Amino acid sequence: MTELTFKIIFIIIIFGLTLLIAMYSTLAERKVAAFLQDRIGPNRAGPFGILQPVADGLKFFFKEEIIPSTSNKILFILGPCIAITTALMTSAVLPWGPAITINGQIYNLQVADVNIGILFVFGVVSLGVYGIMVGGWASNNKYSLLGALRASSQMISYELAMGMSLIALLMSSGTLGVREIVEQQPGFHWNVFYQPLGFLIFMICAFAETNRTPFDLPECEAELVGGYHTEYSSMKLGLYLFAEYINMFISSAVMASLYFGGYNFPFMNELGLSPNAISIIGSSVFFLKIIIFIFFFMWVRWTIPRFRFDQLMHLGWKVLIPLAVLNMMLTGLFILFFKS
Amino acid sequence: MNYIYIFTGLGVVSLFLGLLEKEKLIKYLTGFVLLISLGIIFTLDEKGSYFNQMLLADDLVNPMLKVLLFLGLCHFILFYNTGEEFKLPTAEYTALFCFILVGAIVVTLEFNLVMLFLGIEIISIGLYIIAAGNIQDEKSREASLKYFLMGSFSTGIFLLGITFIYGVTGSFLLSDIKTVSSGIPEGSSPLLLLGTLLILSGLAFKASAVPFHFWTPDVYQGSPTHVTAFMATLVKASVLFAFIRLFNQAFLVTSQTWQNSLWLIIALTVTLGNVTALYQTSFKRMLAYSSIAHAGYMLMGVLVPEDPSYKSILFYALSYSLASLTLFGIYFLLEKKGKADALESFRGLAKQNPELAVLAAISLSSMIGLPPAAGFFAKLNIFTQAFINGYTLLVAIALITSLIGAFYYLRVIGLMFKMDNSVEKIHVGLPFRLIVWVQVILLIVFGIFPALIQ
Amino acid sequence: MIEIAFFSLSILAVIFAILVITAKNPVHSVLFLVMTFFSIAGHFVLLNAQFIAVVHVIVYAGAIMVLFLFVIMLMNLNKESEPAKPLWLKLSGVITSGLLLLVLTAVFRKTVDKTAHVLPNPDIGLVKNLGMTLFNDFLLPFELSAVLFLTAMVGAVFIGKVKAGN
Repeated sequence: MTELTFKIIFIIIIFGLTLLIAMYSTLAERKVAAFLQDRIGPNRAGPFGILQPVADGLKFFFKEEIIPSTSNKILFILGPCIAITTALMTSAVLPWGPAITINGQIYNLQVADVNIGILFVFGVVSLGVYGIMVGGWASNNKYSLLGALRASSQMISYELAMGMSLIALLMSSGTLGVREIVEQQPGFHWNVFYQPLGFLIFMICAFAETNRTPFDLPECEAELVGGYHTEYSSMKLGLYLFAEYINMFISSAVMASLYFGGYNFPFMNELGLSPNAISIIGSSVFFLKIIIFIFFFMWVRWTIPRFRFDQLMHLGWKVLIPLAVLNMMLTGLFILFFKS
Repeated sequence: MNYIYIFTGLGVVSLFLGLLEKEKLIKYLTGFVLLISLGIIFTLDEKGSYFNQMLLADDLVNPMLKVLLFLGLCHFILFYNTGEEFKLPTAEYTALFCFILVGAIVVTLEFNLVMLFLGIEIISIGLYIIAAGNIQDEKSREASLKYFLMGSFSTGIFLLGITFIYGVTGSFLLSDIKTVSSGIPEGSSPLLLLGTLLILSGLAFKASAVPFHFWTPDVYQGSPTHVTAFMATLVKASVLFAFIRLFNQAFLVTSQTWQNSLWLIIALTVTLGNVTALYQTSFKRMLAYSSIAHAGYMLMGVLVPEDPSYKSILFYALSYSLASLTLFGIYFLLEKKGKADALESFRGLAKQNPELAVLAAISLSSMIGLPPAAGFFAKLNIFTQAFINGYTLLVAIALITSLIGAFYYLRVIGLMFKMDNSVEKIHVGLPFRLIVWVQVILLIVFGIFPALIQ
Repeated sequence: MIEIAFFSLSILAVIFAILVITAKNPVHSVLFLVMTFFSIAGHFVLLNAQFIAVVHVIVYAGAIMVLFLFVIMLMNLNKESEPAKPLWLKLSGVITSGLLLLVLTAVFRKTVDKTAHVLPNPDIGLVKNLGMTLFNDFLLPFELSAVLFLTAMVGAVFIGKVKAGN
């Protein structure tokens, strides 16, 4: 098997897994909500409602497709496409597990090990906002436009704090490659223990970037009908919603690999397992961490109420950014005095 | 270099003090720091190259730094109350003032094209903003926007020139550019030639030389008077200092080609500036055209490829800036009285305010180039040097145009001494009076003992 | 291979840049400009400067252009009307820019460099080398650009305050 065929197969697997997890996140969301509200949740389609996402998907495809007559047609269709494309692109630089050996050849479980991996994630995330803005504007509806503006201002504001909290991490790890960052956290030496403040800021910003509660103002029903996707219907709406779940999955993966050791698990090298077994266990551990984060996302959604818009901006600019700068300075001082 | 630290720090400190609403303190602190740094620079010469020759301070630019700081101090004291009158946020205004000063210092010490670019950008961005200081006035907004749009365009051209030069020589360092380009026979590298010309046009825009002067009258007229005074004196002087540094240190080899263009620019500038100024009824517009013309005279110094050109430009810039600051200061007082922006506002000034009228008359005569004032020797220096270097025709044009220019300055003097009883007395504050007198006395002292500067 | 990539990126960049100025709708202009930035980022990747490429995308496409779009959408500039400019203005614009184009092409035609250029250090664009250069040789410009940005930031506050104060 050549490197290329492996990569292609691997990309398809990752792609499929991402979509699968995003699909079942929709079910999980409702199940978690039901659990937190002491209900049962969807349980009609298949055992425990396991076929519910399929049913939902089918429903989206068969719904009537409406494109507002005064909208900008090309941009209207382009919006959800950008959203889903950028959401899917991020997974390229994440390491999904330790290297695997097949027929004596070593394959990295990573699509592209670029030396600026984390910046790539950032770049793609910062492009995600175009999907929302273009869609919201092209709908030619004031609620959509307001939702889009909210989304973009929110994402720009929190991207700053996110980047700054990450700089502290990069300072201590000294690299921009995600695989190297993960490899620097063997066993229990997770970055979260060295960068607790940084992680907290990063996590809050990740919530804001994915437009999840308590930061879901762009689609705040009470004020904006449906927010930026008010005018959307059928699978185009489905793509937007899907993009949100994919984003949630990806940001969970990013958090897990940057701060929680990625595929590392305690006693990884002491157990004396074969490399392939470690690889498989590592990947499973990684997915376990991701799923825990996804659960956390949902838990927060059904627990905490939504911010007001001024509170959101206040938190972003006046609390998180100064904290991130402080964190950066502390890290810098620590490196200066204790590491050199 | 130290002054860059000082004034950047001062800007940041004043921002923090603004947070505590200590507006008085900011003013006193700024004045104090300006005074102290002026004291330091007159006792300790700034010397040496900094950060891999990004900046280079030597004997040639040292007096320029002194002039810049002195002008900064004068401007600050003359207009120290403006902030309150225009309801400007003191902290931010002071910070911008400091940053522009930093930009001017960087531009003067520049020994690297990157630094030149950065310095010019710091100056320009600061000016775009404070030009809009009088934001209720549509003219002020127009001035700011116009300056911003045209300025960014010229910056783009300037940057393109830098990239071409870098493409040919592979360095941003002025001395390296000179060494590399001296190995290239004249005219054999069109890229170098074009780069030089693009940089020339970019800088000519900042110095408001014809044909890149279109922004000047509108911006000078629209901006609040204290900002106009700043642009016409300190900023213009620093841009000309950058001009001479750059062209003397980097482009000597390609001289024939750019010198012809500069020759044309100067001839156009002095002619157009002076002739158009004749038709102006607005005082600020008239001074704008006069500043265009003076930029032309100063640029004549750039044509002269020797060290004395530094001194002659310095002398000219100083005398022009002192006269100009005085005039803007006096006009500012009139403006506060609610007078319109017109030459007529000066009618009968001598009746109630003989002091101001005399000061203004001396400054105007310095601008004309009449002997007792410094402007005479400033012009004489520049003209003789250009003449010695064989620019006879250019000197002839300059002489004729400065004769034409004498008309509109004399007209203002004439208006001031026309007796008109309807004029009310203008109260002059003590710091203002002090600085104006210092400026005018300096004008006369330098006019009688020009050797003091050389 | 690299040549194909280079030329297709260049052609794309030029086409999008032309579309930026010909598009009637400002929102379309902005989106085309984003595409132009992408093509330029592609050029950076070809030069093995991934860091600059990604930063280019993050800063220009991800931040600046979003703000642009933001302002355009808020101001609702999507009317497809422009004030008509007098003919002589258009003509003089065409003539001057045509002259500039002529001069530029002439210059570039004359300076065809026939020697093959090899980067002395092909890894110069990587983060580590870039950081080293930036923080050693170009430290002062780097710090001064902080002053530049501070000026712009203070300026925004200044204008805001002047407006609010009156």
